[in-house]
Amino acid sequence: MVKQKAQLRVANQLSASNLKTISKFVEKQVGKGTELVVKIDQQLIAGFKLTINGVEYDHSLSGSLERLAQVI
Amino acid sequence: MEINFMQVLFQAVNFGVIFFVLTKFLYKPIQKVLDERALKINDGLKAAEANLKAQSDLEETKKKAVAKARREAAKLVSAAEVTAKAKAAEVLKKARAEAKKEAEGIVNSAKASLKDQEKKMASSLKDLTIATTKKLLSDSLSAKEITSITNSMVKKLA
Repeated sequence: MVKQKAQLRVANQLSASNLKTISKFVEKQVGKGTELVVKIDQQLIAGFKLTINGVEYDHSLSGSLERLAQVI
Repeated sequence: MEINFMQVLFQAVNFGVIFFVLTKFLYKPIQKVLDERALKINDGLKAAEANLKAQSDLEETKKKAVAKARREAAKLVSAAEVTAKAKAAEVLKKARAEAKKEAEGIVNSAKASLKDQEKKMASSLKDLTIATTKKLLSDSLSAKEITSITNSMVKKLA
């Protein structure tokens, strides 16, 4: 059985508790045994971007600014 | 002085003979010629009068014809002027309508272009603002602040 992967991009190194919270969220979405691939992306400025099975959860400051720009 | 009656008689007979001969062979033909001449002159005068009258009538007819032609020409000119004025007014009206339409088209096009430019400028300004804000935030946020923001973002998932 192929292990599912979730991609997590973060602006800076996450604390263990934050990582745990995100892992729980991923489990809730797609079940246990999903591999979380973490990458540092300073372009996010702050926060993170999580992609699970093609669905993106954008909780970055950069994404917030872009959404704000779309609303204006 | 003695009167010779024979001589008188002879002279009288002679006068009568001469009178008769002259009357018969000279006076009458001359009179006839004169009468014919007078008749010819009279006929000529009548013909001349008739000619003059005919000429006068012709002149009158000519004058009337010229006057009629002038009136008709004036009418035609007047009608042509009216038609030309109407045509000119129509052409002017059409030209004005076309010019107005063209001007409206240009104005609309300019407005659309302006609106498009405004949109592009607003978009560019927005992109520039976002890029500048991102750059400012990247440069100014400390690691602690970034962590704090990230923590608050993660809390949203919980």
